[in-house]
Amino acid sequence: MPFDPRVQKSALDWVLGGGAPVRATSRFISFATQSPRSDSAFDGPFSPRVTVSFAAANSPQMSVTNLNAFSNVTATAAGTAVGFNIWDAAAGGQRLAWGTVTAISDARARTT
Amino acid sequence: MANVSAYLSKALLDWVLGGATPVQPTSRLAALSLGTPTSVSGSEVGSASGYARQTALFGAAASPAGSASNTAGMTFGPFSSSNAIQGLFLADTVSIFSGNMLWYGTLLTARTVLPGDTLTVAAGNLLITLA
Repeated sequence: MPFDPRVQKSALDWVLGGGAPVRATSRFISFATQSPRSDSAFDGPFSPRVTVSFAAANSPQMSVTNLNAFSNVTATAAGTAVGFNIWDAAAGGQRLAWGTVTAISDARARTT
Repeated sequence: MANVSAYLSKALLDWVLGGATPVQPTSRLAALSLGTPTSVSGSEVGSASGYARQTALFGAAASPAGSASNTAGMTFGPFSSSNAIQGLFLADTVSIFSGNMLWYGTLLTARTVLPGDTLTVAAGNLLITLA
């Protein structure tokens, strides 16, 4: 799960003391119709972003899983969710990380 | 130097995703390795050789490159015995063999220091990345 380039900078500054970055206080997930990249989230016609919280990371496995299930994401048009993005705000904001979903999910308009 | 230690990998995940509240390092020390350091082991040079960890200072990270480099040179030694130096790692504590490793890597060219030698890492030559 890559970190967004701006988050990489914040994390480097936090660890190395080169700056005083602001830590995200909340996290939201959105779904993407293409595999997200550093230059594009490819957010799909699914809304809203929903709150997601994570357990403490595992070590040395270097993995982390969500604590809460999320639903009530409405497809406003037909689309296939192949990726996800983690944000620090319900709208706009800063993307934190992204990845691809394990099982591709098709959605029709107004399904959840 | 692109290798993130196991300790720091967890701390970064927790810091970004909020699963826990990791402790921000208050100091950063460069350390030398006799072998090739790994994510969990530094194989550090012993103190009896005249070696000590050196404070590493960094500027603000570059973005989107996701990198930072040291802003001041660091000089190890003079050494009192011969040592074959292969790697370097960053730690959060000044004491040898203690604290948490942050990043690790190998020198571009391994160096064997002899009694009386010093080993210097010039400003800008220690490049830390997350990308």
